[in-house]
Amino acid sequence: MKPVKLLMVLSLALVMFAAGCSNNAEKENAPPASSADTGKSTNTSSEAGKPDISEEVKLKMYLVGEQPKDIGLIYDEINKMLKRDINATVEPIFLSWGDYLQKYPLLFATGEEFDLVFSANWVKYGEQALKGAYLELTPELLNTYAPLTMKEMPPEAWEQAKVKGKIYMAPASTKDFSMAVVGVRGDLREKHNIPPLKTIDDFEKYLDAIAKNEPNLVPFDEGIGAYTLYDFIVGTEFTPKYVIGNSHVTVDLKDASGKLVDIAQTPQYLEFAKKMADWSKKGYWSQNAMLNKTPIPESFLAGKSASMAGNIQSMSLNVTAANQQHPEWKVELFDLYNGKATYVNPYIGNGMSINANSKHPERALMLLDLLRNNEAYFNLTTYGIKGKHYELTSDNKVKALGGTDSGYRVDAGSPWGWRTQGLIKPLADEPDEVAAIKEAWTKSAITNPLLNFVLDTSNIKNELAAIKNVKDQYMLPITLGIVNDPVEAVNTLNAKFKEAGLDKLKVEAQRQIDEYLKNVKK
Amino acid sequence: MRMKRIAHDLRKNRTMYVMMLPAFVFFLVFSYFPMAGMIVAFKSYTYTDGIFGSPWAGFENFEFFFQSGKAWLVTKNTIVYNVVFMIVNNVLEITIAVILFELAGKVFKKILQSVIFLPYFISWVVAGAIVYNFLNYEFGSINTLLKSLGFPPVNFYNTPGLWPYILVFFSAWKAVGYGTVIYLASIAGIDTEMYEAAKIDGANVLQRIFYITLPSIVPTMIVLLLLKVSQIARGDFGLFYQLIGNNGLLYDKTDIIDTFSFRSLLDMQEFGMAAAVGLYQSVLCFLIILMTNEAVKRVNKESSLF
Repeated sequence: MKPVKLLMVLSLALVMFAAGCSNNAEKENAPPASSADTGKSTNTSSEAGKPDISEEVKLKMYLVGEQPKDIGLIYDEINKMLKRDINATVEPIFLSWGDYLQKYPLLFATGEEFDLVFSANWVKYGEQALKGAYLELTPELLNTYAPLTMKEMPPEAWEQAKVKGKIYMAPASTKDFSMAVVGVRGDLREKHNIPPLKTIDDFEKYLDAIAKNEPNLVPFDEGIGAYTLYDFIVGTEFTPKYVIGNSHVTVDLKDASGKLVDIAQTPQYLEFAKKMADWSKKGYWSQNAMLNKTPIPESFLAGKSASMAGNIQSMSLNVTAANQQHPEWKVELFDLYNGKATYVNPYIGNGMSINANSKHPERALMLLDLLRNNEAYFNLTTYGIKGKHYELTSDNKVKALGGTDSGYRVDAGSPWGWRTQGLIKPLADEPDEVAAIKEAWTKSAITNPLLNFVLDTSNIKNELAAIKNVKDQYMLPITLGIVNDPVEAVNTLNAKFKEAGLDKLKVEAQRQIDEYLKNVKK
Repeated sequence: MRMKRIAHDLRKNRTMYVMMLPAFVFFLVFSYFPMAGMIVAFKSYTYTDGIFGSPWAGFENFEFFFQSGKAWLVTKNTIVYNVVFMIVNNVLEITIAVILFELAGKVFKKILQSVIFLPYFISWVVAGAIVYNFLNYEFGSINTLLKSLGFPPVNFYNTPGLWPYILVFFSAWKAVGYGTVIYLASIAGIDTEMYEAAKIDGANVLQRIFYITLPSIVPTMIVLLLLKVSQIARGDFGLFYQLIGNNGLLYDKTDIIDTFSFRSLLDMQEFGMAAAVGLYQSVLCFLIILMTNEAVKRVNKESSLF
């Protein structure tokens, strides 16, 4: 009995000792976290001349995506130039698509030392910033170490990057759209005498013709990622900017007053639910779509289905791929918005931040400035090595070499975080429709100060978690039409949202929006 | 005086203590040290302050779980499924172990044992894909068979009522092989003289099973049972997540604490809330194991864990 007691005492002592240790470690780590101050002090000393780069440093940069084969070649070139320009080298490390959601917050939680990191609203930029993940980018820091970026960045991009009034990210400065387009097989469309698509009803005709006449093809291979049909049918009506994640609560960007709309409670949503139930029964997609994890374009390119949809950037690449592999398909892109209001994506959809624990924030910023504004750096990281991975055509378009076997395809090294409007070049084999659609969307794009609004979620986390679960259980079946009675399904969805506390969220969100608009008007 | 006795004990059983050391260190490092981090469940965690420096949040992190209205449902599902798995798997394991033991043909016995054991090595990810190809509405093998026989196809993935059976079946499919081996080992340890004596006394096969084999493996059964009970509030995440995935239509019948909290928190990235659910499960497990151990103690003092 005695030895057992001894062991217990011993282990308890050790536990307390360990706890004490890690406590100390945390405290030691704290000062560099608020290293905005250190940044400022070095900055004042070097304000007279150029920043001090006498000491050689190794930088680490975390990106989200899969590591391409030729990444070593690219960064060897980068490091040669970097050594010369700012006496530093950089090592990119990739968080793969499969587990970036789990790994990203752990980067900061483990206190690992790294310098640059990809950030974006879809990796919870705002929340990570509030938790102290990133270094605040003060105007002094930016002016001293990233002067070109300061000049190049649109002011509204800085505005959007502000979290509680402080900037933690240098957003990419390209204008992107997140509206969806559809891609269909031109050969089949002509075979069944369907005129070019203009509206969702035209698309329905196409799907119907496929469902009836082409038994070997799934008309539209929907899966768990389904959102495009909702966008075409409901999104076109409301021009939504979703305010509360995982729900249909949004503001209508056409409405300057910023009044919240819960789309799930509108008659339009009910119509959508009925239509999807109808389409699903007609066999436009599998009865087991709830389990289908294959993205629609993948199924389309494999020749299993007859149409695809997605945002214009990825659709453009998919059509190019289809044209290379199956020119006989005559794949076409159609814009179903057709003049309805559109909007430009928030800039914070991609960007780069500096780790709060970085030992070399100055050098990291200087690197970022080069990546964003120096064409040599930009081209290398975006398009690869000239002559090996890409070629410039006479009209300054990028022609990718090597097709699908290329060791570094366009954007393969996840360079979206430093994409800049001035340096990005059109692709030579981009489908003709793309430029036309983008131009049309630029014309129909509306602006609204609410595009920059970000909900502060710090006091409503519990409700948000509860709502996420309602979405999984009750919303996806409606989107995929896998419900027996769509009316009842919509009622259940709204009842469950209410139970999970959506009303409280709406009140809070409306309060934040009103306050935000008041400040904007000032 | 006391120190002397301890020193004496340490010296006397030196070899024993050295042999125990690796296990002791293992649990210390991987089970006891991390326990201190449990307080993150009561903290509003930020990167800069770390686990111990972050501000206290009281019971805020637990709220979402109970606010969802699903806490009772998923807790019930978790425990009921685990109890059913435990009963079904144990009955099958013991039955198969006894049959294998009584079987004469050595080669056949080995083959059978390997076949039953094989699924244990298949990961749930792969198993999930196999199940999908069995049950798919359009091209699944079961529905293809039904259609070719002239029956209407069954849409398994839209029919929650069927899933308790499917899950129990696949849990057994995967786990029974492993359990069988443990029971076989236990049966092999029974003194063969007892069987010989029984044979001479004229006992038939069934009598030998019921009066010698089963009573002899009761201690093994109880230990395995207690080990299972200690995990009763922790669902088999792989099984439920890989077979059900994001199929919300089935959640009322198939959602367990683990899958529920995983889905709710995956894109929240709140360590505190995730830790809160883990703590809830641990406390639940702890209470249940205490009660079970007490019950076992009343029946048979020798078999209880502590």
